[in-house]
Amino acid sequence: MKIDKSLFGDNQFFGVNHASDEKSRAQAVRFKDDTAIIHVLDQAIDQGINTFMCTTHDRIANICNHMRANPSRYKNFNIYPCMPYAHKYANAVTELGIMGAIKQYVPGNIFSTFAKGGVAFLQKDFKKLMQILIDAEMKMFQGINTPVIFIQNVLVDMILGLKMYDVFKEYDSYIREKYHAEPGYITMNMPALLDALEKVGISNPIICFSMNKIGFRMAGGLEINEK
Amino acid sequence: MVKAAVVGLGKMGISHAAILGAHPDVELVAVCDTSSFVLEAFEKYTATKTYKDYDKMLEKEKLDFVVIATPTKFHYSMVKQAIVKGLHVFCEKPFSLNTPEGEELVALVKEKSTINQVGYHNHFLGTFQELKRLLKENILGELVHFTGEAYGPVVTKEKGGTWRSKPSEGGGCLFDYASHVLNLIQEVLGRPNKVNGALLKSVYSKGVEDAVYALLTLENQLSGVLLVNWSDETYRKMSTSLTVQGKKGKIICDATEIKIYLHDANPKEKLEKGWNTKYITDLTAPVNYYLRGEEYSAQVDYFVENVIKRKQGIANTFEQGHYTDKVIEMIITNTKQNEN
Repeated sequence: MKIDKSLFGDNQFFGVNHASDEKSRAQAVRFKDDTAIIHVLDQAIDQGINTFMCTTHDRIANICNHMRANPSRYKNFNIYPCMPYAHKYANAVTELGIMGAIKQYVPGNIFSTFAKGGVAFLQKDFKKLMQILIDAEMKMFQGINTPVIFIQNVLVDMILGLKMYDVFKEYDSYIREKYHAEPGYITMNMPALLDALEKVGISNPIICFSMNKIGFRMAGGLEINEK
Repeated sequence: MVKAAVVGLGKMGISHAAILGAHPDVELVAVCDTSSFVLEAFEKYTATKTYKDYDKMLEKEKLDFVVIATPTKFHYSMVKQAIVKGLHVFCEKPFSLNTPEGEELVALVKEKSTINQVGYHNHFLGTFQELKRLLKENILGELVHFTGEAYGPVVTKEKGGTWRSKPSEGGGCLFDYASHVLNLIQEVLGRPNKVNGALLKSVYSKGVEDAVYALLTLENQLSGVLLVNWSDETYRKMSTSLTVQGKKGKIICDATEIKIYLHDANPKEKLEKGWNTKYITDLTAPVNYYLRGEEYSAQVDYFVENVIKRKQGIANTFEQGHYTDKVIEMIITNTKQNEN
């Protein structure tokens, strides 16, 4: 699998700025309309960028619609989805609890699909539940090339901290089998994640982590990350 | 290794469990929650023991400390049980829903020498720490006024039916959201001891307030305004800031940057005349494990270190969290007086 040397990211489109709240607001104003996002993406494509790495934010669905409507323009264009858009779930978890949040966000017919056992069935089968949630997040990308599918750092790092390493394994196989894509992992704890993935038999994974001279948000420090 | 348990596996409880799980000096022995769904996930994927019954967990497990991240209405009884049992306690914010109970817990940790901490994580953000330091260095001269603000998109449409709309469960913006800012004002600027006027406003919620506006005076006579609104969808997530005006300049500080305006240059602090900006990237001490922002790991690391050393820390003590509850009570009293 070959990854382009430069990927185009989406933070600016959704007012995500880790250095300044003020800049974040300015970006939210600038990219209020989807056409503004598409315009910048088109400019990037004209500059030779062919991969867009983005969260599964609601507005990405509109961008995907545009791409499907213009197949010739975007035929060589790849999206690397990063799931989930965590803020969507975080508030629901605090308000409704984990089960409540899942009920709210899993597509409506899911529980009737498994009418036999309903919620009880899903409660016992975490693997199936994970697959349903992935499918729900991936729905917007139908018909679009998604050669790498990432899980966001908040989930990767949480699974890592809780030592639920088998979840990585289940994710890994599902992404390969169902989407014929490479699973990717975003993390702020790269060295520890690499060890954890190795423990469940995942070698040479695609990992996205921060790398900077000052060691900002790089667990373990610069040196061990460089190794 | 110190042995820990997390009680209440909502967003904060799971976050604490992950941070403790990754901590090199901690063994996460057990978790406790009422949801069988969450407990079964722990049973299936981890070696951590699970309990539905808090009493049983305290009885069976040999623990050094517990993290209480249950709904606020359960804090008092659960924290008390743990202290009596001789365990150290980290309790989520807000500390307690009524001040006599909080008072009792503060006295109890003193009596039992319990290491105690409340989860006001903003204390561990590099920007606010820097603001506190700069004010201590007196770079603004005599202080004139402050503004403490927080905005976010928690309740953005009319609905009800969850704990968020129940004042008896700590559901309003005052307990859940404004408490962060009040606590930060207390930590960085001084303790509010007078509420000159306050308004609790509903925007979408029924039964609780979605916004808190108050005019405060601190023990050191500094005056300021509290402006908090959790029904503001122009913010992607909670955004907390403090603005301080002094005779020699002004500082605007939030979680990502600190902007300093000075009448005259301050060579000792390497600050120029006019605007200066420092970013969180330059003000952050690294942690061993990151889950979201470093402040969440930093506060747990600090607590664990204190437990290991058997030495009470100075940041976010029960007493400090309890004082924030008292200010909340002062605000409620003031609004009731206005109604009459």
